[in-house]
Amino acid sequence: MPRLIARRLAHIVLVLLVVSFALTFLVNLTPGDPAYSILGEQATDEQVAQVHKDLHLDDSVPSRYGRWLSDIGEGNFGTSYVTKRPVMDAITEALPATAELVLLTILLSLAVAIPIGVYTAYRPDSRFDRFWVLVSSLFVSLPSFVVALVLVYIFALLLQNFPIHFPVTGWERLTDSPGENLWYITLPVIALSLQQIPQFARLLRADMIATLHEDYILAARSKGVSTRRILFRHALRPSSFSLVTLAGLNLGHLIGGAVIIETLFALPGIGSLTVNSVLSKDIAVVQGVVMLVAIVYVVVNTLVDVTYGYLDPRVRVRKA
Amino acid sequence: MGGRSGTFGASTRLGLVALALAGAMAVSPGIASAENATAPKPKSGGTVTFSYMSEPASFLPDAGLGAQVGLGGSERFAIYDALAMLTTKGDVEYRLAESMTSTTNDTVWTVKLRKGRVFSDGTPVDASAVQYNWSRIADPAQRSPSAPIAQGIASMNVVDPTTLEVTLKEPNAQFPELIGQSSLTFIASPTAWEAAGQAFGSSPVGAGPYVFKEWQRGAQLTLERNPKYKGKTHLDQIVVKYIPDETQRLNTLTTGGVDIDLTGDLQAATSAKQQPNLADFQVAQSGGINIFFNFTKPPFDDLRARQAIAYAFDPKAMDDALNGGAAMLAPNLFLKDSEFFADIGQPKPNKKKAQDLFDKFAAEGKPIEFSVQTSQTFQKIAEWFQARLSSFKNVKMNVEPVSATQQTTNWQTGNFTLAFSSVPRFIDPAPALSNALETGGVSNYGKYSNPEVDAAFKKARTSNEVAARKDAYDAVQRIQVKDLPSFFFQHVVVHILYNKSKLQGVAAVGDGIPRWDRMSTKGS
Amino acid sequence: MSTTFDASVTGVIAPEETDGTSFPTTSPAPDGAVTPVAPLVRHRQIALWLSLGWIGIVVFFVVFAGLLPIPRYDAIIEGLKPRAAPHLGFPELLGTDTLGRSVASRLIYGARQSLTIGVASTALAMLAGLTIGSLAGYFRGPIDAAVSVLLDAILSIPGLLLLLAIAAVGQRNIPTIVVGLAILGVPTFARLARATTLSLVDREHVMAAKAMGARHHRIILRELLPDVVLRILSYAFFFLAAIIVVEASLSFLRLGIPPPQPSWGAMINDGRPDLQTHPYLVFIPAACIVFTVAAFTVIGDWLRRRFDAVSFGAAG
Repeated sequence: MPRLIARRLAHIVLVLLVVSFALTFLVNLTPGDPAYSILGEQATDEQVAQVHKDLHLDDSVPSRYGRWLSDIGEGNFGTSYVTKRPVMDAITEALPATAELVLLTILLSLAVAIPIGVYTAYRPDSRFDRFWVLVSSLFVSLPSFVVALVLVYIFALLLQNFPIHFPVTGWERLTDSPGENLWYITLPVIALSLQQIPQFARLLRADMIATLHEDYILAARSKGVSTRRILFRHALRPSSFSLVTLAGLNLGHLIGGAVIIETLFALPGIGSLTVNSVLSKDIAVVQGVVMLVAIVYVVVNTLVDVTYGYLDPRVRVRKA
Repeated sequence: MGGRSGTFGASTRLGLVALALAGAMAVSPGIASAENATAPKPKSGGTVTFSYMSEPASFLPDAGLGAQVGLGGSERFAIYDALAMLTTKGDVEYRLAESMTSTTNDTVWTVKLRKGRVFSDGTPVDASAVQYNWSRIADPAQRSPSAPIAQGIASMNVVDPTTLEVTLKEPNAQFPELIGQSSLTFIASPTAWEAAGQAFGSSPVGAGPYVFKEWQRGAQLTLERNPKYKGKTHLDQIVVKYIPDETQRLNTLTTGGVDIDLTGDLQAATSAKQQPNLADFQVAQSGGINIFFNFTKPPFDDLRARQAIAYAFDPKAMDDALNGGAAMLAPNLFLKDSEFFADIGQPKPNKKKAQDLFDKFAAEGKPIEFSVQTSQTFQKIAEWFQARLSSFKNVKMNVEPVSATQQTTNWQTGNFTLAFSSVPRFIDPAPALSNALETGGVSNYGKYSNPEVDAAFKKARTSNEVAARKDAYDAVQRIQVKDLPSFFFQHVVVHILYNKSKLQGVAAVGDGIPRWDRMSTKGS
Repeated sequence: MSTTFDASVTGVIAPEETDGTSFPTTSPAPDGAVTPVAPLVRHRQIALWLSLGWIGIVVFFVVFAGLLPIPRYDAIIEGLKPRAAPHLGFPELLGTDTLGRSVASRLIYGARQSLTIGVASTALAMLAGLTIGSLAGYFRGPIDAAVSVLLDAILSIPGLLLLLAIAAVGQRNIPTIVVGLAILGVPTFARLARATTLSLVDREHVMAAKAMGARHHRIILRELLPDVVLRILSYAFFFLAAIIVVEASLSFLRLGIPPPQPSWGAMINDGRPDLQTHPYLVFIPAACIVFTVAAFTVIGDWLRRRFDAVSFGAAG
């Protein structure tokens, strides 16, 4: 066990190093001078030189990376070039919106996909199954911005004079006003969920169909156990491993930035933060965000692996 | 009274509250309403929510573009008020300052402040406060975008609490106009700035009608009434929402999520016109959207190439295609009602002449091919021009969208052929026009240099008489349409789109900064 | 597979991966499944033929675009206003876009761009992924560990960020975008290749080749790769479908090929402000995307049934 943990840790550290160095290198290569993001269009050459000196922008990439690493070692994630605030502050401010968006998306998607997956596994080739196949293929083929557009059009614009309608854009903190917060996040969550649900449902359906053919299901049925019990008690759990895996992985990825949705709905999240920082060459913030996202991904990955190994004895045994 | 900040449904709620408290309807004097003379009496209280496309990095007085709408100018005006601003017509309006006069050939200026004004932390707005602000901006350690302007001051002397004597390095008859358009007009409390350091940008203290209440970064800013403000304001609260997407911003205005949308987008303005409850308060400026050329590299170091481009461009066709004819085109540099208006004319489209010139270049073995890297603002225009040029032979244009930072870097490093820009745009031509056309001007990225132009600008700076300045600017224009360092085709208009069933008293100062102290919600 | 930037374009769990027979010790193939729309028994044939038909039409237009009597995609049509609605008369069957250019022409050239980028990045991702994955699966040990680090690194970078950075560094042209998209796809191809290699390595013909003293590269190339390729071919179509959506999203964010090159995503973005008054500006390119993506998905699903019958079992 300890050897496994050590290997895992080494793996994680290496991944984080590779990611942070690659991004630092890449973003440094992008054209554009962060000094102009700070100083504006009419900066003089002396001002630009001064900023370069202050921020060590003329040093080589490896040396700047090394400096950043040692800062990280002390727990200092750097200071934004543009806003001059600690990067950690910018991230912790942007995180709640994205976290809430992503969590609610995954939860809603699971809540809708599981019943659909179970039912279509139970009754494959039924009318509902065929209908669902059409509908889900439509959602999967639509880019997220189109989905968002249509949602805004229907629910915010067409229905604007109805008592129940949604705001087009905006954000209110959860702590300030939970009710408002949920209003604002409804359309974005729906837009994102419409892409997750087909994936989840499809995966669950496939697994459940396989499970439903197993002998112990047959045994339970012959014992007279109710259909509902069979589906949800006996069949669902063993079929849900990959679903859980997928949900976890998608969660990790969505944290990386649901950029389009955040921009369209004006949500102050990690996605907008990332894009704006790359465009203004605020390398400090980019490095911080990339590290955060990488850590989240790696942690989620590890958790999923561990849980999977714990849940499914077959994997534990097959130590390939 | 007054809705909560940023509350979805605030407009409905406020409407109900206002109804409940129906005030007397009276003709209200002096309210500069854009609509009619018998406006209802302004209600005291209420919240106005306005949206803008991008959030400033900080609210330091010297960040951003100065006293302009973009990058936080409107918010700064609410927080700091101003020493002086230009009205939308170009007159200097003294606010915290009482006057700025010069007795000694425009080099030594006396800035007199009004008595009794205080910052929201109680400290007085006095001459030493102004001196502190301007010295700090000039200090290289501050990394202020406005440093070059402040560094034009040689020395300052506090004569008495309300009088500051300023000595400039070079005479400038338009010193008040300069101050009124730059961020030197925003004065922050020295005590608070000193104490907070860089963090002052997130918790500014000024002498304006509103104070900083809360900033949810990336989302919204809340300002509330400053009890120490010496002057009348109606609104209790201002909420600013930052919504990057144009279409969504208009949608939010339509559905009542915000009350005002400050935008330059013509499509939004046109759509807003079709909605009965929305009104459009417009502020136009001289100068505006132009194409400028790089004189340091081919092909546009050659006058004929510049001419060809100017002949090939057709402002009216562009306007029809992109905006349905809604833009304010710029046949001349200055607006018609500007005191400097002259009918000297900008280049007119001429397909034949353009094609002839393109053919000439091809015949010489150097057909005109160029790439334009443009930020998102002008991408549509660039794309239109690219489509237009495809109907000409022997010319090829590529368009590449880049970030604003990269665009600025390209301009500053001379790494461009031609570019689209909305600078210079101005109410008063000083200093924006000379910045663009004078040798070494801070926005003269193409490195255009003509001693006659320089001399004309120098002359304009020596007198504040309209006639003398107009002579100088006329000379500049005549040379500009000959040399073509740039040519203008569309005036920039700031549209304050607002919900007229909720708001009244909508007026603007400068290039479109809303007059917060005159705005109010409608009673009854 | 997630088909937008709201989750990176990185992975597919093909259902057959999940029966435990071919699981790697590191995380399972990441990320979601492109719901391969599996039309059901009677309808499957129809769906397949429809899909092939649509792809055939698209390919025809893409290949013969230059020969067709359509205007240039960057030319403003004289005599027609911008945003003209589709109408049944020539010349402009599908109307004009916001600048007055021919929608039909831009759709066709946009298809060329989508398909070129799609096929190229899929091929590149598959090539790279196959190589890395099968090497990792065959040799195990430190190579496997290093590959695992590399793949995880790619996966943990937000996809959009990577593309943004690559687009900014390289020029905004097709090769750069192809490389960027391919990089995003490599991890899943690699994982699939690795998993399949692992499951095949114990097969008899491989053991036999080893026993006869065949060199490594011969074993990999001759014995393993053909099977691996067949298995992941179906995923290639899912990936292709997803890339088309990703490319549209890229253009929507103005990160794609610069104008005036048309792209379906850019056309949607251009038409967006007019959604209420001229909805066809958005819906025509959107429909193209939907049909094309659905078609590739159906084809991929058919391939999966065909070549993965062994591990497919009774699923659906």
